[in-house]
Order: sequence, then C-alpha cells, then structure tokens
Amino acid sequence: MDTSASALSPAPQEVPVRFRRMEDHHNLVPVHVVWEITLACNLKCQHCGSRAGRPRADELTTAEALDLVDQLAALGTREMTLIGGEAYLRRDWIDIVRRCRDHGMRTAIQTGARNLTDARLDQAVAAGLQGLGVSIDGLPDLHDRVRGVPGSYDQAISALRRAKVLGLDVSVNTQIGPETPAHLPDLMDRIIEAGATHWQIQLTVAMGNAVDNPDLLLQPYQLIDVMPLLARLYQEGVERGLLMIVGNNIGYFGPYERMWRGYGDESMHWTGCAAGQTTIGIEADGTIKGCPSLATSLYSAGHVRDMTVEDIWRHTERISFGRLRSVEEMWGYCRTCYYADACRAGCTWTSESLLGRRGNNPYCHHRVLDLAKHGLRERVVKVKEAPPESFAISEFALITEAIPGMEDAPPLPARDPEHVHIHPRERAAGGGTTPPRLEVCRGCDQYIWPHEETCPHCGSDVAAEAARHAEDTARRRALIEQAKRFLAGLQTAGME
Amino acid sequence: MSHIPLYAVAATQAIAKGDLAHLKSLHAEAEKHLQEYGDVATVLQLLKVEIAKAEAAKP
Repeated sequence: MDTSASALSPAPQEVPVRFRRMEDHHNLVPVHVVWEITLACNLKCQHCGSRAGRPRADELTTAEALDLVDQLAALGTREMTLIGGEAYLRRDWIDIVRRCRDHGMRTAIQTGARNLTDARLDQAVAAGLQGLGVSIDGLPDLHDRVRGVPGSYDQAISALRRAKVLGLDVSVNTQIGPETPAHLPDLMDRIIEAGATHWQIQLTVAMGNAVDNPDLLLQPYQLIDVMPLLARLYQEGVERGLLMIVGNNIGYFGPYERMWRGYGDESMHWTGCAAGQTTIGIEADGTIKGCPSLATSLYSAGHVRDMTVEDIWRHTERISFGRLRSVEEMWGYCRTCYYADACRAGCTWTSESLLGRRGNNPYCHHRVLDLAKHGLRERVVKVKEAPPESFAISEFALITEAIPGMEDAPPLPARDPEHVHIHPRERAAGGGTTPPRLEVCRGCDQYIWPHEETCPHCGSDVAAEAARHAEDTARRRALIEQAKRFLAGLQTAGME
Repeated sequence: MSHIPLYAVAATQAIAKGDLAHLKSLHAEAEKHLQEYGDVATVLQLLKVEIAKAEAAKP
C-alpha cells in the first residue's frame, strides 16, 4: 500500500478552493471558471463536443483576455481551468496563466498533450501553472483511434511524467464509451505508474463529433455493469494513492453515491447541475455560458465584447436557468423520481444534448437499477444528425424495452408527480439558494430526505438505524484516536 | 461540495475523507511500522521467554 500519496494523508484544514462554501451559493460566486482560450487543436477526437481544430474566427485579443481574467477575479473566481482546443496553441497562453496566478487563482490546464514540449511546460511552470490534466481514453490502440492521431497515447503519458517531475499536480480525465470499461483496470495501473494522483471519469456525451460517431456512446442500460467496475476501481485507487473523481454525469444516488461524491464525506452528495450558479464556461470568442459544455445555441448568455462579465453573470436569463428551475420542467422518469428535487435530472449537458430537452436523464444508476427490478432497460438511437457548428446537438430517441429473459418481472408502478418531495428554497440576498441536504439511511446506505421516519427504500426505522450507526461510529472513531496516539508514540520513540 | 464540469481538469486538491480512509491510512502506517521495527507483541513474548529461561538457569 502506498501511503506516500497525498490523497491518503490529508491535512484536515485543507479545503480545495473549488469546494463550495455556503456563502458561494448564497452570493452566486463563480468559484470555478473553465475557459476555452482557443478552439485550435492538434488532435482529431471523434467525440469532441466543440469540434475543435481551427481557431474561432474572432478569438479574444490578449488585452481582452487579460481584462476578462481581471473581471473574473473581481467576481471572486478562485480556480481557473484553461482548455481548448489545445490551450497552449494560443500564443499568449503563458500571459493568461500568469495573470490568473497574479490574482491568486488556482490555475491548471486540461490537455491532449500532443507536442506539449519541455519548453512549453517549463514556461508554464515559470508562470505559475499548478496543475496539468491529461485526457486519456484507454490503452494505446483505443486512445489513438478515438483521439485520431497515432502516438498520442505515448505523448499523453510522457506529458504526465514530465509534469510530475516539474512538481505540477497531475491528473487524468477519461471518457467512458462502450469500449472503455475493459481498458480501465490496466489504464489505472499505467497512470498511477506515470504519477497521476487524481482520475476524473465521465461519460462521453452526444454532442458535436460524438453525434457523428454514436458508437462511442455508452447505452444507458450498460451502467448496470460499468458502475460496479468504477466502484471497485475507486476503492482500489484510494489504497494506491489515486483518487477517482466522478464527473457530473456519473450518477445519481445509486449505491455508490455516498462513497465517491464526497470522497468519503457522506454529507456531500449530488445536489443538481451547478451551471450558472458557481461555475462559468467561456468560449474563445468571449461567449459566456453557465458551463463550458452546454450547447452554444441554447445557453450563450452574452459576450464580453458587449457586456461586462458581471452583468452577464447576474442579469442574463440564459445563465440563470439553474437558479430558477423547478421540478415542473422535469419530465419522463425523472419527473416522478424520489430524488427529483435534489437531482434535477443530473447533468444538464448530458440530458439535453441527448434528448433535446433538459429534465430527463437516462444515464442514472438509480434509474437503471429501478428499471431493471421491473424487467426494463433503456437505450438511445440517433434520429437526427448534428449541424457542423461547435457544441452542436442533435436528437436521439429514448427506447424503453424489456430485458431479455425478464419479461415476467413486476411492472413499473405509476408514480404521482404530486408526491415528489419539494425542497424549500429560500433565496438569499445575494440571489442564490442553499442546496438540499439529504441524509443516509443506515439500514440500506441510500440517501433519503431528512423528514423520513421510515426508509422508502428498505422500510427500516430510520431513527433506530441511525442510533445503531452512531454507536458503530463512536467505536470506530475511538479506535482511530487510539491508533493515532499509539502510532504517534512510536514515532516519537523512534526519533529519540 | 465540488462541482465537476466535464471539460475541466480534475479537482487535484480533493482528498479521500471519512472513517474508512482514516482507518486505511492508519492501517498502512501500522503495517509500515511493523515492517520497519517488527512486531512489538512478539518481541515482548520472546523477551519474556528468554527472561524466564535465564532466570531458570540461575544458580
């Protein structure tokens, strides 16, 4: 077991700058900004949502870009992720990194890492870059095929190693399609060996090039096998110094939610899409959205050449949809789901890109498991091509069908939308609201609304199970304290 | 909580938390200590045996 990994030796007072404080929610602070600083790219990814390749015709000038950083700093942004295209293909990217760091923002890039030379890395580190995330979608054959350039896997691994030597925080992002799961165990070994400490996992989304290549999309029902695999790798990763970060479209409220959403802190669970509430996405021409991934045609909230970022952030309708929406806009299975008002159908980008309307998301483990109990599963079929633009969406049909061999399962019961629990949301003076806070039923380890006396999932007495769990927790914590004292004593003795 | 926009870099400041992570960390530390210094309980037992032997051999 590797105990040297930072993921296992936390200093308790360290809170990642990206983590939201209650005042961030209340005051609508754009804590984390993801900025496509150029659409120029040197890879040819078959699933690229933004169809990156050539730069946009009217990308921001250096002066405009630096002014944008200043405006974001004034709004309270604490973390900046620079992306592309390929961020370092923009000539002044080092100036942007430096300006972000001058404002004290935590600054990292997410990259495909092709031709990320030592010189580029050295310049970035000198400018204050703190993190490098490399996108790797499988073992070499699959990765190179999906990314469209032979040798790109080797370059990605090389970049990880070199960034690690330079002292950067190094991580990997992996998109999951139908072929990916079989690669994940070996890929985990390789990225640990290359020095990665964090591994973000996300599903490939039906946008842009991925619509042209629908074979790269996982079918919703396949989550029934993928999620247990991810859970196993999460646990193995923790023991080996690699923390799996499940992205916004891995969810929701299934049996693993309490394990991975808060990295072991059960009080952290999915609370709905945060686009436009604590997150901003920016396109290279200065278009502002609530999340970098959302369709430009639907969510372009304004342009920094026309308005200040603060005016776009505080006053435009398209960025504030997430602040104002309710369960009334939800539909399909999600509308009557037990978690409807906590979840809001998961990742807006994923569901809306797929079905052309937000509020119903088949990529949900809770839903997949529930449907399976009733002999049902869902798959998607493309019915319309996507236009050639960046962040273009199309339309997929959602098909519910019987699982072969389970035709005799009890039918899915009809659920009354009026019975969905609504979380009261009081708007703070700053315009934001407090996200819902669920509790864990200790009888079945599933999340439940705090008012429940009997668990709707397992039928247990919630208070009795909580009391039993409290005893277990007290015993466990006492052992932890005892072990800490014992080991501290040994350490002291060893130093004498 | 953390929000994970999917085009963003992973939250590299995040750390494993909770009792399980603590227990595993302490377990690893104890294992490391055992490997480095040996098993105190076994050494104690061996010391007792040798003391008993030495005392038995006293004239």
